[in-house]
Amino acid sequence: MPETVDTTGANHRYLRLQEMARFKNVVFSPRHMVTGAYAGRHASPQRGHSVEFADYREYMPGDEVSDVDWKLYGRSDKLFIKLFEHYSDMSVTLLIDSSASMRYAGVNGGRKVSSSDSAGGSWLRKAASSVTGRMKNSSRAVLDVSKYDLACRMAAAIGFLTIKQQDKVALCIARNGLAEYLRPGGSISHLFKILALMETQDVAEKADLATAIKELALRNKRRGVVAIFSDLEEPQEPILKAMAMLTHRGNEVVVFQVLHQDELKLPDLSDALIEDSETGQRVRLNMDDIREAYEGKIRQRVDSWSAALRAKRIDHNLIPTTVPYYQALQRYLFNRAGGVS
Amino acid sequence: MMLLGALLVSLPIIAHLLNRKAKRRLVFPNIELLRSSAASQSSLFRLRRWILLILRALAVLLIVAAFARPLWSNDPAVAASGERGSAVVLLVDRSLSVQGVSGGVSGLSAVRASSDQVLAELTSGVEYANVVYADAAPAAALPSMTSNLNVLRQELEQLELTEHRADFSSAIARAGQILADQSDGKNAQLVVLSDLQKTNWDDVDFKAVNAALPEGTKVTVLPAPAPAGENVAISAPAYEPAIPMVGQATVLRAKVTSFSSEAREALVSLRINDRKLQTQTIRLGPGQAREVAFTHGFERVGDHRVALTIEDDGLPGDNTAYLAVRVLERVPVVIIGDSDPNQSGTDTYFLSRAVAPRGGTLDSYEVRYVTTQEPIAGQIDQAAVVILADTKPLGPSLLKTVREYLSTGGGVIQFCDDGPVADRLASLVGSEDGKDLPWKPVQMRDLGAQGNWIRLAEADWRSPLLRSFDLPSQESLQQIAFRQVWRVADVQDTMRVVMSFEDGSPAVGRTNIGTGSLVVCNFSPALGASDLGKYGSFVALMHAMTEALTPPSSGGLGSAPGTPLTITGITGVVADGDPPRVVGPEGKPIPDAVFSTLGDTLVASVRSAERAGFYRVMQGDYTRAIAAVNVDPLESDPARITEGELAERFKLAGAKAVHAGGGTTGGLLELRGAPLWGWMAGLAMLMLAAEMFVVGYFRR
Repeated sequence: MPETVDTTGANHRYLRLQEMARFKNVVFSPRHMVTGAYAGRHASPQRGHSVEFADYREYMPGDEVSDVDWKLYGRSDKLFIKLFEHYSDMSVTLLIDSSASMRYAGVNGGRKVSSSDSAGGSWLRKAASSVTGRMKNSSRAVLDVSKYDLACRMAAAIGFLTIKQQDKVALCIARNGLAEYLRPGGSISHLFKILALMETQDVAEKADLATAIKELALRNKRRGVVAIFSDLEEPQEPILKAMAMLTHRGNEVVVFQVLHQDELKLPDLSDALIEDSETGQRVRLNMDDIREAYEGKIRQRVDSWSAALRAKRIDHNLIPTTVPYYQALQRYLFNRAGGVS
Repeated sequence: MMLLGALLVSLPIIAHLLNRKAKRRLVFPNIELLRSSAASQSSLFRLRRWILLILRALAVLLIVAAFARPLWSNDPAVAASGERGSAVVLLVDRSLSVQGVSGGVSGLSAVRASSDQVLAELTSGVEYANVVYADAAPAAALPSMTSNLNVLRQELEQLELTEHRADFSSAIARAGQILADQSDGKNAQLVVLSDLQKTNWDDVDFKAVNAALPEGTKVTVLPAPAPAGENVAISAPAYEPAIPMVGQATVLRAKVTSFSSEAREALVSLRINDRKLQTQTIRLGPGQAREVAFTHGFERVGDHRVALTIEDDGLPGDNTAYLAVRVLERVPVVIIGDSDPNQSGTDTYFLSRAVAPRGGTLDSYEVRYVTTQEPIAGQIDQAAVVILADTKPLGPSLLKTVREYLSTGGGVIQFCDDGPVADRLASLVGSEDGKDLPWKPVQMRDLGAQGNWIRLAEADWRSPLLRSFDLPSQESLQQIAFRQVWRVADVQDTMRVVMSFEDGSPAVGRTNIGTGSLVVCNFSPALGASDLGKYGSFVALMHAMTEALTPPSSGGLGSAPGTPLTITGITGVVADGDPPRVVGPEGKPIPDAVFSTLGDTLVASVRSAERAGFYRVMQGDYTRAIAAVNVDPLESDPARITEGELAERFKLAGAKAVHAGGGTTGGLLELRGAPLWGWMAGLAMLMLAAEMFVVGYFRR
C-alpha cells in the first residue's frame, strides 16, 4: 500500500486535507429527518418548545395537555396542539467492510507501477507493466489502490465533511461481524481516531456483513445515516434483511459497492492460478476463456444489488477503483442534492 | 533429418504444456463467479486447447513430412526402385516443328528446359539414363545408358534441331530396345519431350510401340512447348512440263498454306540460280491453301536451282520450296530393240522415224537407241517415253530399270512382234507365274501368210492417247493393214482397250503399273507385220501417245530432310578430272556421299540429306547435277494434341503406367511413385487454417 508521509500531522493515509478543499462548499445532509442530542442544522422529528413555530393540529387523546394552545382554544373553542420545528445534529455511521476480499488491489498486488519503474525494473515489473499496459497512465495509480483503501478514503472524506458541519461520525469495521465500533463523535480528534482505526485494521477473513449490520442496528439508538462500504461479496438476502432493520429504525442507509476494476473487467491474463482471497480455494483458469461469461455475470450481480437496494429505498453506488474517490464522492453528493441516486 | 524434423512436433506440445502451466498466481476477491463462468462453457470450448494442440502438431508433422519428399506408389517395383535406381530414356523430339517460336520462346529452349528439369530429378550414380532423338532417323545419344548424368547434360546442351520429320515409331522402338537391353530389370521409364505435333503422332502405331517397350515401362508425357504462331508454309513445288526445253514456257508452282486463324498476305518470291526474278502477293483466308504459279522460260540447257520463298514467320524452316529443273534442248525418247534402226523395214527403223521424222535438231524429240542387253540406268530418267520395239528378253539390269521407270510414273509402249509376248508382259507387270496379266496373248495370227490383212475399226478417240486425232487422221489410221496381230483373251478390267481390229479383238490397250502407264500394241511396226511405217498417221500416232504418256509435270515431294538422297542424271563428269563431290545447301561438301556407277551412268548417294535445299554434284567448279530436298509439309501444321491425349493413346493401346503432364509439386517424373509432398504441404496449410479458424471462433 502506498505510504503517505505526514509532516504536519494534518495528512493521514486516508485523508489528505488539501484534497478536502474540493468539498469546502459541500454539505452532507440526510434525506430523512434525524434525531440528535443537540440542536443542529438537520430536520428532526422531535418537537419542542422555544423553537420555531411550525403548525397547528387538532388535539388527539394521548397528547400532552401542556401542548394545547389555550389561547387559541379561547378564540375558537377548539383544542389545538401547537407544533414547532426542531433542528438537530446528525449522526453518520461509517461501516467499512475489512474482509480479505477488500484487500484486492489488482494483479500487481497494490504496487504502484510507473513508467520509470517498468523501465529499470525486474522482469516481473515488466510483465506487470505489460498487463496494465493497455491502461492509461493517469488511471494506473488509481488502479493499484485496494478496495479497502478506496472505501476508507471515501469514508474518511464523508467523516471529515460531517465533522466540518458539526455533526457526529461513528466508525464500524465489519470483519466476522462487527469487529470495531467507535462511538459517534464530532471533534477533529475523533476524526483522527477514526482515521487511526482505519489504518490499523487487519483486512482479512470474512466480513459477515449481515451480522455486523444487525449489531450496528442494535447499538444505534438514534436515527441517522449509515454509509456502508463493501464489495458485497456475500449472500444478498441476509444483508438485505439486516439493512431492513436499520431502515425500520429510521436510519437512512447508503451503500457504496466498491469493486476493483479487475472484478468488472477481468485482467488481461491468459492462464492463472486463481485463489479465493477469503476461502483460499484455488482454480486454474484462462481469463480469456471466461471473460465474456464472467463480465456478464458480474454486471448481473451489480444490477441485482442495485435493484434490490433501490426497492428498499436504499441508495446504491457502484464505486470502481478506476475512479478517484473524490470524483466518486462528488458525483454521489451531486446526485444526492438533485434527488438522484 | 526426418527424425530431427519430427522433433519439431514437440514444439507445439511444449508450448501447450507451458501454456497449460499457470503463468502466475492471483489472489482474487471471489472466485465464485469465475467458477460459474467456467462451468457455463461448452465441452467443445474446454477441449479447444487439445484441438489446437492436435491441429498444430499435425501441421508441423505434415510440413516436416513434406520436406522429406515422400512418394506414393502401389507398384512394389516402383517402390523398390529407390534402392535400385531407375532407367530413364528421354525421347527428345528435334523435328522441324520444334523450331517454332511462340511468344519469344523457341521450342528448342523449351525442350532444353524440360530435359534439364528431368535430369535434375535424377540422381547421378543411382539412376541410369540415355537420350533418343526423335527425328527421321532416330538414334541414341550415347551407345549405352549411363549414370553419369553430366555427360547427358553436356549432350543436351549441344542439342540442335533438325529439319526432319520425327519418326516416333522408330524412336520409341529404339528407346524400348535400349531399356530392354540395358535397364537390367530396373524400373524403366520413357519420358517424352515433344511438341506433340498432331501430324507426327497420328502416324504412330501405339500397339506396336507399346509392344516395343519392356513390360511395365512407365511412360511420362511432358507438357509441350507452345506451337509456332501464325505459320505460313510453302510446299509441293513442281514444274510443267516435266521436261522443259530451252525457251519453252515453264510453269513453276507451289502450294502456299496458311495455318493462321486470321487472313494473311504472303509475298512469294521466285529465285532462279540465286537471282530474284519475280514476286507475287497472294491473300490467304484462315487455314486456306492456295497455289502460286510463275511462268518462266529457261534460256540455257542444264540444271537450274529454283527457289520459291515466302517471308519469315513463326516457323522459318518451311518458308522455301526448292526445285531442281533440268532444261534440255530436246526431249529424249528411248527405243529399246535389237534390230538395226538404220536398216530399212525394221521396227526400230520405222519407230525412230515416226518419233523424230526430221532426223535432226528440228525434231522436238531426241531418239536414243538401246539394245535389250544394255544397262541404261541413267539414260531413261529424263525420257519422255520408253518404246519397247520387240519382245526379246531384256537383260536383268535393263528390265529392273524399265520396271522402276514404269512404276515411278514413266510411260512405256510395248509393240508385240512374234516373240514371247506373254513373258514380256509378265516381266513388265511383275507377274512371276504369268498370271494377272492385263490381257493374255493367245495366238499370233499371221494373216499375211494367207494373203490377208486386218484393219483397225473402232477406237476410243476421246482417250488421252488419241484425243489429238482429227477425223481425217482417224480415217487414215483405219486404212492401215495389219498382217501379223496377236489375238488376246482374258482382258482384265484394269486394261482399257483403246483401239480394236475389225474382228473386234483388242489392238491397243492401256493399263497403269504403279504410277506409270503401259500401252500394249498387239502388232509390230516392222515391215512384214504391218504397213504402219508407210503411213504418216503412224507419226501422228507415236507423237500422240508420247505426249499422252509424258508426265505433265515434275517435282513433288522428292526427298525430305533426314532421308537418303540419290542424285541421278549426273552428266559431263570427266574421267580424268577432279573427283566429283556432293555439296550440300550450306555450300560444304558432304563427306559421306558415295558415288557409284550404274551401267554407264554415275549415281551419287547421300546417307541422309540433313537439311532442305539444293544438293549439287560438282566436279571442280562445274555443277554436274542438282537435286532438291524439301521439308515434309506435315511438319508445317501447328496442330497439337495435348499430353493427356497422347497419354490416352498409349493407354488405349495397352500401356499400363502412363503419366501425363508431369507434376509441379513433386517434379516432372515420379521415379519412385507419385509425390505426396504437395498434398502434405496443402494439408499443413489446411491444418493451420483450421487452427486460425478455431482460435478465431472461440475468441468471438
